[in-house]
Amino acid sequence: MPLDGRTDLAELEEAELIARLRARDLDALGELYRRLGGAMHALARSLLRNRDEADDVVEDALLKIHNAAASFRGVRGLRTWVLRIVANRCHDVLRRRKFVGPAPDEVDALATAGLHVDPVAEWEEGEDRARALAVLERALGDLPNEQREAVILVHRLGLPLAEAGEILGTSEGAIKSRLFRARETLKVRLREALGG
Amino acid sequence: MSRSEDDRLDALLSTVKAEPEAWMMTRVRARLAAEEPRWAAWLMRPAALATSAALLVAALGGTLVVLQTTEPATEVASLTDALLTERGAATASELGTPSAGSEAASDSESLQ
Repeated sequence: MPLDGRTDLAELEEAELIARLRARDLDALGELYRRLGGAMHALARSLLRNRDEADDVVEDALLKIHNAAASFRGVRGLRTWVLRIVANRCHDVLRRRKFVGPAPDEVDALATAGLHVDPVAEWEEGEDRARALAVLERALGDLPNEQREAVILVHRLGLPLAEAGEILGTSEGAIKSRLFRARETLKVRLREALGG
Repeated sequence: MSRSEDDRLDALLSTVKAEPEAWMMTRVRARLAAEEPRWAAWLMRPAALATSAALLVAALGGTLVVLQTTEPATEVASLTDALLTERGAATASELGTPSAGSEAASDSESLQ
């Protein structure tokens, strides 16, 4: 995912992509999905923890992007706009959703959500990665929504704090605060389950 | 909190990914193709169709009524115009009224 480091060329390509999106070019929508689809799915699946619901959200978001591109002013950048649409759709789903109890321990939370582990990620020898990830996903699911989405945007997608704030419609300070509280909770859960 | 604990958390969080799905754009294209314009959808409602048909009949009826009532009036107007024109021409010839151009010319002459 091209989530960090912006060059002039990238900005030029983005401006061209936005112009094509405004002209309702479906190939441009496909190009946008190729570039940002991973982040869109990761955000929706991490927030909703249900693959089917998350994919419906991404599909609806793409339709919204196609229909609303003409009114996109480009002030915040394409990625911010796209992920904001996805986040707002997720909020709608979460509001409508009835209470969902925690999944049984034996259920693979990552697989249920449709997420996978980066195969090239570095890992310490001897660490039980699968178990650590399972514990972490469970702990993420137990966080309040506003903390979870801050963690997903900043730590999973690697977005800057300011951009995460723009996507969630809040300040950078609020994002920092949410992240601090979330990280403390997650570390305690990992320590309890895996030892420190 | 130890540094390694933060590092472990960061590593665990950032290692989880998702990828674009090959079928997604096919689904999006199909939904866009199936979407019809809103005005067309509104027009296709039975109530809207009945309303449109009723409006069409009313408009046609109204047009017929207007045409029927305006024809005699046109005739009267034409007759009146003809009479007035005829009368005006006769009066002008009896009085020998000069044209506006010659009046202006005589006024100018008198001023000089």
